Amino acid sequence: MRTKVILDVDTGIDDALAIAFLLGKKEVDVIGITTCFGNVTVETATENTLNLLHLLGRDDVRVYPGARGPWNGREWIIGEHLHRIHGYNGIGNVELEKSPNEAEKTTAWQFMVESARRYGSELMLICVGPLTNLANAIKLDKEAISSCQRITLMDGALTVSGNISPYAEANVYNDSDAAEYVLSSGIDVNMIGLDVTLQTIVTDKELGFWQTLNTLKSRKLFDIAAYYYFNEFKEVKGGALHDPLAVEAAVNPDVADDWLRINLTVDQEGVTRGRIHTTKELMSREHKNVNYALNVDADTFIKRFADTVSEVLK
Amino acid sequence: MEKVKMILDCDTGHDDAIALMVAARHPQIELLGVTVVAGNQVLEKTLPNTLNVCQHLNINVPVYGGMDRPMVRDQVTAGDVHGKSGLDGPVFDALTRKAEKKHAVNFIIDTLMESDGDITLVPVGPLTNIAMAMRLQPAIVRKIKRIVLMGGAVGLGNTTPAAEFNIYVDPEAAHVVLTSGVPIVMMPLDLTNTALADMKIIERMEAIGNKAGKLFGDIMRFTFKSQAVNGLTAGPVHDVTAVTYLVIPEIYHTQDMYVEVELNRGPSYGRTVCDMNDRFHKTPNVTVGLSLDLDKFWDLVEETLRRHE
Repeated sequence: MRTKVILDVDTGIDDALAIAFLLGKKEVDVIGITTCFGNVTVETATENTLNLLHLLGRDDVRVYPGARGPWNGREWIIGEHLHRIHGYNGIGNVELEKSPNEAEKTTAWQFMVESARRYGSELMLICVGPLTNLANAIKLDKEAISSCQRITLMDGALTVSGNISPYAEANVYNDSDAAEYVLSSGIDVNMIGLDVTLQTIVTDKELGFWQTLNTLKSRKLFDIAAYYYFNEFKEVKGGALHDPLAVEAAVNPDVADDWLRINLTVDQEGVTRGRIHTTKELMSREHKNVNYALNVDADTFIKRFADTVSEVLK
Repeated sequence: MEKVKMILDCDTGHDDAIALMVAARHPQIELLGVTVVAGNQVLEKTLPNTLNVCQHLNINVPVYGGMDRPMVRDQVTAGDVHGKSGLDGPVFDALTRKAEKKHAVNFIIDTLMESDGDITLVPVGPLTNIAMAMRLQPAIVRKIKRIVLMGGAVGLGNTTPAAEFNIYVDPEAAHVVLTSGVPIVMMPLDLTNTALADMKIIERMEAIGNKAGKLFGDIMRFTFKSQAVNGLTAGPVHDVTAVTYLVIPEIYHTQDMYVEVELNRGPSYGRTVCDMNDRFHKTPNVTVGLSLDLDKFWDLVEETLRRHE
């Protein structure tokens, strides 16, 4: 039987690419997509996700809206840098046809918990936005969530600088309380951080052939991707496949050939807020619940990503 | 009948949340404000937890952040019973409700000083806020009508063999309050551990069908499991018994006695020594709750939860 997957997103361009990539992975069954604030508001993330699924002819995949903001009433804003990276609508200012579907009434975390209770070790979770939805699910029923086969996160910057501050990666930063809650819960997670996603920079060279497929799907998704890899970084051209790499690592953990077993904590205040690191106390614990990726086979992954998505776009 | 004016001082917390739900909607209670203290978790968690409950249930009462640590001793929290967030179980929308700017201790002082001496304080967490207010403005002591608190134990404690959590977390503050001369009613563990939300109670509250009943379920289903460490078969709603005393004192069996907090740092640190049989021959300073009519108690809780939207 195919493993069931829930993808948690804040769509977002690389989220959109991750969705397309996941739908192309025949070995898994996507039972739902949950949305969160982050790159955009949760309302925009939900709308983008519904419209993208519609574009890709996958109206059968249900979308469950989640958190509207971080835990504990922390401030959260969509800065100008997010408009630069993801465009004003979150998907590179590309217009998509409106989906006939509505978002589900069930919340993201209820859906995660109910699915985990039902499928247990047949279920995988992939979270590529702030960890608020996952933290809420663990808060609601830790036992159920810990019974999942694998939880893969796109989160963190351990050996490299952050992207929202020199210390912090945006998903951790956007809800540092929820991130700490997840990481200190003891539940095993595989983490795909900037350490590896920054090894996966793409440009026209790798994705340009999507244009030649000449379908509505391919034109739209190419435009979305192109906006991103022309705008993510100021200093270099190209965009990192953050969220798609988490999808790959979930389905095929061997894509990373170096994993570090570690316990992590998250700085909550001051200039280092959102920074992940370990401590003497955490190092002394026997159970290391985080499996942190340090190196990936980028060339193989990028090719697989481009080819798998191109099949979806045909 | 005139309403009882009260200030709830809490460290939300599972049972604190339910105490707040009851205090906010009972028709005979006028809840003037909620002051929050570190206790079950650090203040950075207990304050948003309190605000989350208020926002979720549309409780429009001012909430004030208070003391973030005990007066003297090192900080202790209760992550084992209440979880890492201090209110594990229920999940809330993004928090937009804000705490008031004024410090809880100043709110307590100002509100009491401007009052006609008709305000009851209901502290259901560590007594740090109340003790600090008494130290900062001793004149409030004459203004407090009564303190009805949840804390202490006649028999065994739940945090150490000798001490109950709220008192153990700040024994010096408890000492200040118990020696203040204010009339005090205390709901000790011996009584509160009998107010267990078993599955029958949880399902009964959930069956009300409103947000408050659902929240009661989400909260007590978590403590249903987490309280096993104390040898209990379900989660007790400790703090609620202090609030309901304000409106139905007749269902409680109480005894006046002399109570003193052990301040020596030995194995009994934080114990409430309850002189039930008058061995010390000292003047009673506390009315101690010993038992209550549970049927009537749960009826009142259900009735009050029904008043929520």
